[in-house]
Amino acid sequence: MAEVLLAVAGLTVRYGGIEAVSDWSLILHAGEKVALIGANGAGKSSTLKALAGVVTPAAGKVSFAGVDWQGVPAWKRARAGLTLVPEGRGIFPRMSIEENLLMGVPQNTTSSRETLAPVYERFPRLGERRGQAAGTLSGGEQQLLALGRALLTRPRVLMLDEPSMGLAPKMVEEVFAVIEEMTATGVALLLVEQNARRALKLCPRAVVLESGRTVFSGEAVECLASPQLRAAYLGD
Amino acid sequence: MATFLQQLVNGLTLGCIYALVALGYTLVYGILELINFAHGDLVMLGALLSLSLMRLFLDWGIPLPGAVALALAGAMAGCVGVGLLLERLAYRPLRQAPKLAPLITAIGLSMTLEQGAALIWGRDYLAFPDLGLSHSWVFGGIVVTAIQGVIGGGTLLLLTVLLWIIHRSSLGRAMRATAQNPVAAQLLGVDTDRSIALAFVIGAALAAVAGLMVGAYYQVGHYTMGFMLGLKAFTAAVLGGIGNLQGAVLGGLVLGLLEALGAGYLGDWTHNVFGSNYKDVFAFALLIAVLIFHPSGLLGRHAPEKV
Repeated sequence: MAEVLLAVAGLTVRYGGIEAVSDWSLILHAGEKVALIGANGAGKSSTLKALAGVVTPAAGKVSFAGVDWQGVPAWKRARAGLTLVPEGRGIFPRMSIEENLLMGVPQNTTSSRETLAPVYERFPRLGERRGQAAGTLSGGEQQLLALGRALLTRPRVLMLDEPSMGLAPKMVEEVFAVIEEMTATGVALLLVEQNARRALKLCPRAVVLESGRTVFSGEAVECLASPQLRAAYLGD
Repeated sequence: MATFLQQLVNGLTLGCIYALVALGYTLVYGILELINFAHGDLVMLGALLSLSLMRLFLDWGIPLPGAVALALAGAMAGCVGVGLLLERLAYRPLRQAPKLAPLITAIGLSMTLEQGAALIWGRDYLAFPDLGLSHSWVFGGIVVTAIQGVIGGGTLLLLTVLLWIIHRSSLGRAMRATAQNPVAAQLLGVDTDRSIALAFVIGAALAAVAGLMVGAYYQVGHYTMGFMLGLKAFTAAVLGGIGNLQGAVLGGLVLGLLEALGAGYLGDWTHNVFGSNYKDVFAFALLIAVLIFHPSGLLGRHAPEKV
């Protein structure tokens, strides 16, 4: 079995008196792809934010590649190889496309402009408009920019929060194609996605959340075969 | 015409100083949405530190240019140190607090710095050492003094360096990213605390230079000198569009020019009902007008951002 990259035990996230994630655990191996499925408010985004370190959990233990991440700030987690593309994409609207991409290049690499070449090759639209403010891009193009930038960070674990939200069907297909390419090279994936059917097609493993707790964890095919889960999350 | 051009030169000199100080307000506001009202007092600190250091170094027999350079370096180090302390001890613990708390803290810090300076330097006006920059040139009836040239040239140099740092270096890119979306910046490995501290460091260093300039220009130092200067530089930052670097420079220059022209012509226009001592009223009338008619300032953004 591959190396355990991310180990989560007893993760609990509270906002005021409301418990968004309750005693949640997960083991993620290198190169593993997991779809995190659940209704609105099930705690999917809160889970990703707590793992990335932008939300402080009330309890629980997170370790990455064997290192305990208690109290480790978000920026150090990102540098260690855990990249979250947040809901809303997290682009810098008044910076150029090129500068947005450069933000993804690790600080200690010097020839940063050459490292952008493969991204421009894969996304010619971004290359053509590299000097333009990122805020002028359409929602789908912004998502591609965010994905391209995440790729530049050379993640070991990639976490995507609703990458297809609000996009036209054609763009959804493109975004999923890009995610598939990105993770083909052995990057582990934790994917939160409203489009459960599409997510389960991409990820061999599924975790279903309900009110901050895991109600199903297993193979995606199993999830697709379960009548209750199909009814609840796939609209059958 | 000669009066007009003369006031133009004087106004631009004043405007350079306002611009340097306004940049400090706008840098911190751009990244934290905090009006650091103690910033004007850092200018005072820069002036008094360079005054004392210069006297000390001249006493030691260090030649004037060396003494000025060393005093400037010392004043910059002192202001940066105090700026960092303010950020670390006073503002950072209040980052999640309601906006009013850091604002009141800023006013309190301003008073603390002033009274602290009064304890160290006393409450009298102190003579600034002569920098030997009093000679002047006459161009077609307009007098330009050496100190005016130094202030103009120094400001230009600092602006070039600053704009390069902010727009071309990776540190500056990280600062702008922090200002536009702090969470996204963290998710890309940016130590946002360091970006914020850097805004204070740059602002404080510019304040130290402005302090030396204003002290040398008026040849006087006093513990309250940062108050009015700070308010006016803040006006300049709002006039240009707070949070916008180019706006701070433009606002500073416009304010300096308006003030100088106001001082030169107010008496004539009003048949000496109002004299040049009303020039400060100009600055604040302008602030009020901007806030009423164009609150986003000359170069500020007012369009909502597309997400």
